[in-house]
Amino acid sequence: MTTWQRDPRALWRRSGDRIILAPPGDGACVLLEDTAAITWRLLEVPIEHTELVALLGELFDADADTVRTEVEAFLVGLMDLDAVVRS
Amino acid sequence: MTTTLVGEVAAHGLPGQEAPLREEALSGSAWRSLVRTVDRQRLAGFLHAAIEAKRLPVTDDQQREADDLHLRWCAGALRLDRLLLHLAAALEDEGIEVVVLKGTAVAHLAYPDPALRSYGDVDLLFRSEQFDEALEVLYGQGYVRPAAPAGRDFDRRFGKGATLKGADGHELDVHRNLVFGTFGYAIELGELFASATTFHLGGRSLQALGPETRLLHACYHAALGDPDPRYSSIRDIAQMVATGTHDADRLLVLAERWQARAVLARGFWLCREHLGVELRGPLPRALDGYVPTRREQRAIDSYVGSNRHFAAKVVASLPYLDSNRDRAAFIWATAVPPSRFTRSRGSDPGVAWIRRGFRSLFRGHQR
Repeated sequence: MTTWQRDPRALWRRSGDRIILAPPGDGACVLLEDTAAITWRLLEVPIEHTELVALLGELFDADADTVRTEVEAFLVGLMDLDAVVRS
Repeated sequence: MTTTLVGEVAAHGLPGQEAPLREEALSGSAWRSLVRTVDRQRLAGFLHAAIEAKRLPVTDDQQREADDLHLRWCAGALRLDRLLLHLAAALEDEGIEVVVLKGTAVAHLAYPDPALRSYGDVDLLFRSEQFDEALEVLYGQGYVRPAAPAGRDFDRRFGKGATLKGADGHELDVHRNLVFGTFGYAIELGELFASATTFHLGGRSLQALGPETRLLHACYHAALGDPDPRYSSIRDIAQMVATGTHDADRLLVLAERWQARAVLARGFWLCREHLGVELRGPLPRALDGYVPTRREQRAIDSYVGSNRHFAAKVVASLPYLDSNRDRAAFIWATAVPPSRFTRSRGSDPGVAWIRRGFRSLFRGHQR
């Protein structure tokens, strides 16, 4: 079972519906909007992948397969930036 | 009109501040003036929050502008937080204790969301005995000190700190005291470290001033830092008085020992004058109607009065020093400072500088 959580080294601020994220290191800040920002906020506490997909599917009224693929790609991208941790 | 509205924006989120600030969106020129002031006063977070809470109606364009302004300040704060983490690690590696001051610490400890409190620099406090070492570490990180020190001994015994410049031009304020001169000499510097608290940033524990000394510092900064202090600095006082975890009795004892009651009283007065809020609770009650002594007033004037030259601070500082030996050392170090030092403060070296000191003394006694 895969669980996702924010890497505590990642710095971020919320500005309205947007999140500005500074991953560890010297890399550029990343702006998260819409579904990306909501996903980040759902990572407030560690969350199982299946639960995250189900929640986002409900929120956006989208089919689970589409959400699963999109979320996976997004989170792997954040993992590459050291902004999230998969366990 | 804008001045009043800026104060109202700065007070957004304080208890009792829920009524709409305006019924309709501001006109183009009034909005532009507001945004300029908000930017200068580091209030982007409060403006954004007031709009989000529907207290300030805006057009779509104004909303976008407020969003962008806030995002810019957030990005700046993240860059500074990263810098702080980097410097804290380098200092810790050399065994140097550091306490994070002002915007960064206040944003993370005093506000429900750090995005509310915009800040534009990093301020670090070091123990006097580690100050030189800390500077060496920071020089090793590429910082330079553009204003020459009055001397190493002066730095350690009487100085407030220094402003360093990074390779890309950003400023880093390093402190060994919370204020230069007068009130600064009554502060028990060891207490600032003994009562420090921790906050977490980027997976790391950092030290900040404790709740009582943090509120005192906010008052020193707003009350003495500038005749026209930033609204964000004044808001910090109101925020901490309204929602802080300080022990009012302990804070009043510290203020008494550090001869800072007039500073607190001025800080609370600034909240009334600029934010239009009446602070409540035991602290403002204890200082309600406080009348500064002549010595306190002279000291405050040396920072924010019309005669606020460096020499005036020197003269006003003498009664705050503990012993004649300290006074003699202080007078010697400040009366005949190295010409590099006086030039860096925009003064004429030598005799002209001393004359200015005597003139300020004369003016002080005329009041």
